Amino acid sequence: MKYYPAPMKKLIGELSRLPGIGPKSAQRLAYHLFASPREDVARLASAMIEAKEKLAFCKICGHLTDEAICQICRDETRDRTLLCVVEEPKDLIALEKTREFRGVYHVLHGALSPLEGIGPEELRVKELVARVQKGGFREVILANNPNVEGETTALYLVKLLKPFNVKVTRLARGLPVGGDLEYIDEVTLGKALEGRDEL
Amino acid sequence: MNLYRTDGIVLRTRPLGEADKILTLLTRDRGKIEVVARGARRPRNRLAAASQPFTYLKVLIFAGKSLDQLSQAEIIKSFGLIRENLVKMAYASFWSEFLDLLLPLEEENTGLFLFSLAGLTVLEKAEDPVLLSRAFELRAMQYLGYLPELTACARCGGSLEGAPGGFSPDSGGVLCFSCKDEAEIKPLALSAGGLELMRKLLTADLRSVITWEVPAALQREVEGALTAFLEYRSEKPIKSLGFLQSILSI
Repeated sequence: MKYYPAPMKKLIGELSRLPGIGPKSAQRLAYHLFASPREDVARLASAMIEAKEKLAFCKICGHLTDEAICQICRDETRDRTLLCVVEEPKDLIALEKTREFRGVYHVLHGALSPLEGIGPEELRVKELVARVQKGGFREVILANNPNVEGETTALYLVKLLKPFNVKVTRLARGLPVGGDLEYIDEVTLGKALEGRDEL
Repeated sequence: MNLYRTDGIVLRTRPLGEADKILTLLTRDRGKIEVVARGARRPRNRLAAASQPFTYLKVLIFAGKSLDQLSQAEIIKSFGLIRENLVKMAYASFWSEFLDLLLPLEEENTGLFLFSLAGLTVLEKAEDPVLLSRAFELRAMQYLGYLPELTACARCGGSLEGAPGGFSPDSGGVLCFSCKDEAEIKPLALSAGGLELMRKLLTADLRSVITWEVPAALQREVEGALTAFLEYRSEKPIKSLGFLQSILSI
């Protein structure tokens, strides 16, 4: 790094702080930016600043939004009696892409992880309970990740939500499309057998 | 190729880079080891299901220059019943965390491995795992070489006949009545019944412990003493303990 002039050194340093970017990738990106036209670089810089300044979390569901209430929560055509709980905004996007779900969401912003010391206070659990307590939901779908942290979070939420007399369901676990039965692990295969469908 | 086979329990996992995980395993013949599971955070990866906490695995590991790499993993037991029960899951997390904190890397401890496996197996079946956890804590500490002194006073070596003076984590165990005011940190209250219960837990079969009926006050005494001792020994707070307590209070 000592062979670089100060502005290049600074750019490489900042880029290498990004997740998944090592020193070599940072160097490559820095060269690319240097070689790009000025307006391209300015557009990237202003997009970053704009995203940082304008984005916030929706006051109702916790999804990313550039207004107080997000697009989904504002949408009058959505079924407001169906609530889907997800861990991260990117999970919500994945579910939206399926076009199968027309209800509303609640983003927890993480999963419970006792080993990492992430408890319910670190997540938007209180807000979820308050929303369900207000009533109006006929079903709460827990779309947590199918790993230990996700399962723990789901079990915890079931415990909290059951007293409100609402149907609580979980996404099914099973075989991925395009998978090969031989390479599927025992746990997934077991779950797939458990939740098999009649044809 | 420098490959080795062993079997082990996943104590904890932590993310590495974009899609990998570092697994901490308690193995049968190599003690605690850390291995990289490449791609284990991708849903269709063949190591994804194997790299979940508390899973008992048969593994093939490639010894790397810095970190070893998990080459193949076969699930022997996934302890699904633990993962489907919030309280059991919280206890298993607590056990994993203190084992991880107190175990040095790569120090063979086959006894502790087999005992942990037995502990998880009984935990799966236990209806109320409170006493089981106390027995697990005590016995695991015995395997780790940190067993608190329960037979004689930890300070003067005198007899503990009659009522003990209390339990002192910094002195290393139970104190006699005359030493109780000499410890630097005020000892925790421990009755003769509490001491008796600890001694019984130390030798009892784990499968029978879950059927015992013990007054709540005695259970609380022993819980206070053992968790304080564990935290003293691990030299930092045990994070999953807070989670466990919040689960038990719902």
